[in-house]
Amino acid sequence: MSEKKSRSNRLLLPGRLVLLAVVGATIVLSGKISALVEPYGLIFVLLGAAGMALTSYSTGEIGAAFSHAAVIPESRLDIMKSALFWESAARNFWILGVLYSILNFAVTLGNLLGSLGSLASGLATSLLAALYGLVLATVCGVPYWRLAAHFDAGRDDACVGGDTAARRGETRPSSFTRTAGYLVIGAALLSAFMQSAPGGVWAAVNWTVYWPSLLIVWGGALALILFIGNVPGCSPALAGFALAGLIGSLMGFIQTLLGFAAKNIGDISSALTFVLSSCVAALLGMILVGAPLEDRSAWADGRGGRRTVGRLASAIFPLVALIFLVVIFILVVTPMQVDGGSSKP
Amino acid sequence: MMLLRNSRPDIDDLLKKALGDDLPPEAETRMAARLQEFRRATEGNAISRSAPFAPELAGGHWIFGSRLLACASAIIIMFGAALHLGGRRSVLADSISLTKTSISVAQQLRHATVMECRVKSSLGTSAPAAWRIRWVSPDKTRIDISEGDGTQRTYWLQGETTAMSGVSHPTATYLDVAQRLQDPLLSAVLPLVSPAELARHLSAAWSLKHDGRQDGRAAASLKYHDPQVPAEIELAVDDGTLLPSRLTRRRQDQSQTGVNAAWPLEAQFYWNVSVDPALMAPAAGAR
Repeated sequence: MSEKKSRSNRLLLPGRLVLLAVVGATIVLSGKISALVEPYGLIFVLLGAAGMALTSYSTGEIGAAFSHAAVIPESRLDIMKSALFWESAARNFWILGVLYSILNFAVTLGNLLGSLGSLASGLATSLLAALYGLVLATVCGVPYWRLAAHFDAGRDDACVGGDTAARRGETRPSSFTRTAGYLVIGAALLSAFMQSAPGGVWAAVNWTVYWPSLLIVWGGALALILFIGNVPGCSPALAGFALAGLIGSLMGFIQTLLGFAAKNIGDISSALTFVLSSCVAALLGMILVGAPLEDRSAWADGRGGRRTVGRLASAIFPLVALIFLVVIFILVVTPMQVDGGSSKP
Repeated sequence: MMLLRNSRPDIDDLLKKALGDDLPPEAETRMAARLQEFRRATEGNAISRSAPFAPELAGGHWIFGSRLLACASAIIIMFGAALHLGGRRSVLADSISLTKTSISVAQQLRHATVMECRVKSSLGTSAPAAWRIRWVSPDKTRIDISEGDGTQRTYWLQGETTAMSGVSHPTATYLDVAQRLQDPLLSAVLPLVSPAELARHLSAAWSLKHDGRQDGRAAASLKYHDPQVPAEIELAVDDGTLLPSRLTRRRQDQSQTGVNAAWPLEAQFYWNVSVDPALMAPAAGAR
């Protein structure tokens, strides 16, 4: 029986390699590889995720998480810390991918040079970043699931240990590391704006940031966070930003429909801008405030936290924002129907 | 069922003695200290629950801070709503407005039934040339061309068929596509020969230009770039019908001349006007 299991394990690695080779060959042979390459999106996602990791984890913890991905540690505390890191990394990749997609689409829409067909290709290119984010999140999910499985298997152990370590304040990121993390995130955002906007960074900021929606989403998120308060092991910031973004987007969509009813293109375009900018504001809030607070709460809880709401918010809101992006594209290219009049010479 | 109540005075006395409130002073002090510690821990948790950003802040500081933050959030929301409802425009909204107007104009053009277009040009010939284009759905076009020297000719277009009559051809003559394209005065107005042709140019051949801010309504004027000629095109749109009212074409490079150069044009559109059907058929005796 054990010999059979050992043989199956020996076959597992070559099997995986063959599967990977088949997938790679299929993509290359399809001749569409160039259509799946968006280097700036990939750079943004990778750079942003590195910055976000630094805002929540010390360099030692990041290094340990990478080594624990290969070799499962004995200590339950180490397993928990590394599992938390990989879960955060997966979440960050997903949010950053969707954020870049929305930013890039807004810049494409604001800077439409060329025929209207270029808008569709612009959307397709924008969605590539979300694809990268999702693939990278799945890659990070593999070590997370392995570590989480070991953590759950040892749940009956008497000593949890995380609580003590958290109270001692071991190896949390220093303020220097956190600052460096935020600077890296800023650099990623700057690079995203610089590469996509021929009019410069300020023009790109003008296209993507609509101040009224930014104020409403951030003010709403602050109110929600204060209203919910702090639950040990669970920060309400992620859910607060996601809910505020969702509320802002729905307000925008209601205004869009009213604009269609009134046949007013100005109102429709203003409302669609509101939706797009609400999603950007919420995702930015999740990256800059929500995710670091969530990670710190989970760490302080010492048991990985009770993060169901945060997990749901960070998984569902980016998906909803991505769907909104496609809906906005459809609403933009849907012509306004008006009754034809006549004009005499 | 019957409830039995037994009275045991000896046990009652024993319980009264054992549970009396005459604890030794040391034990009472210890118990009071434990209670105090429990109260402090409970209050600390309550403060932590209400302080999401800084659980280490305790007592009145945080309560004061949370009230300030609540006021700030309300002011931020109201300020944002006031800005939005006050009609603040963004560059992105202007851009979406232009794109949507252009798409809607192209769609309205495809639904038009009758069009008349009067075109003037002051370059390319010694004297101003003029065109009068009449189009009737689904696919009949008549183009009357008056050159600067007074020469006149008429083209009838229907699908691939072209008929022409003029000074050299008093009766209408059918031309093939190559012959049709030999006349630069006809080629100059080909994007305007039918609403569908104009819509095709708006959607695919010309590039929409985004420059300047709009007034918040549907864009009254759309600007395009024709990369083939090259030329700048400005299209004035009636915001009630979303149909073009005027088209102006300017050369991008003023020094460029010749047959392939863009002719500066000014076209005025009239929609859904009555056209005599007899005018839309080639003159009698066409060969």
